Amino acid sequence: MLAIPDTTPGSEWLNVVLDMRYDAATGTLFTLDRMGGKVAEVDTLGTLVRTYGGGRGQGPMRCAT
Amino acid sequence: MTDYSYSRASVVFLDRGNTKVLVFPRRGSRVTQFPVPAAYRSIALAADETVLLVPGTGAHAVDVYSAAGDPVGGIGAFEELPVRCAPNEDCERTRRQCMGCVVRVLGDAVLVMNTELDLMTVFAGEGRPARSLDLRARLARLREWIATDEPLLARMQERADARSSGATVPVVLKSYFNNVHASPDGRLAFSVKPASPVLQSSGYQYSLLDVETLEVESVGFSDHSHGLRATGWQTVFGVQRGTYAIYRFQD
Repeated sequence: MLAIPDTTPGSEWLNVVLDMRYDAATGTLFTLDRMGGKVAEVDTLGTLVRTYGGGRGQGPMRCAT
Repeated sequence: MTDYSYSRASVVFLDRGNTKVLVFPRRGSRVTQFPVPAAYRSIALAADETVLLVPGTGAHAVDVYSAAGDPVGGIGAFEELPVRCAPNEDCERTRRQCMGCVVRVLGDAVLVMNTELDLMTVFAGEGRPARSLDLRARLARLREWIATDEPLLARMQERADARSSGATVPVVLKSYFNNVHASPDGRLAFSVKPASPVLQSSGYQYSLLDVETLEVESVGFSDHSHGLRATGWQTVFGVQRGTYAIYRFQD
């Protein structure tokens, strides 16, 4: 399956990912960034749903400090 | 390396120091965290939101915390684990730095694996005995399968030739620490990669393991090359309805 590249402002460059998992319940993918500090949840069209952790970059979730 | 897990409601992180758990709701914005008393090795989130952590030492194979961070018990005995690693020390078996054990939830079962993902213990519910699985023979079979897959070897050889003229193609498999999880059809999905320096970044072999029958099914191979990254493409993978799909995202 080839996803349509998403270049909308809400998207972000995944870069090299350490890990990817598929959530069958929601049909979304989780990717762990190369620093191992942030997870991006994307749908199968490549659209960013939200990010978790990282404390930087785009996404609604920031690591609490 | 940070480990993480997810459930229907939350995404949890084991932080870099491995002594703190961060809990992110998948809806809403209230991030919570709680400290844990040991440097845990791996994390998994059960369907009931309890947090499962592998201590790598101590009494239990898996320590269990509530979503609020209260210790609520343990699963199995540490002594039951087939491989009791000393994380961050040179592994006696692989002669390389051990990254510790991995814990994953597969349906009602809790799996604890070594870094190589070829030895594991299945804790299949309260009151049921643990079952240890030795997958080395199965993975050796997978290795043989790859070694005789001529189209795959041809592609590997083509890539190797392009990068290093005359290079041989030893196919030695290594598991990939974080890339192991439950597939939608109830099997354990994991990736292995060639360990040859020439082929280190060339690709990943994706496999599904049935922990009941111990059958390992190879379901695909994908390129993971610097060339793709250089052109602005990143190839990643996921498991969808029991089969692997290749996804591409572009900046």
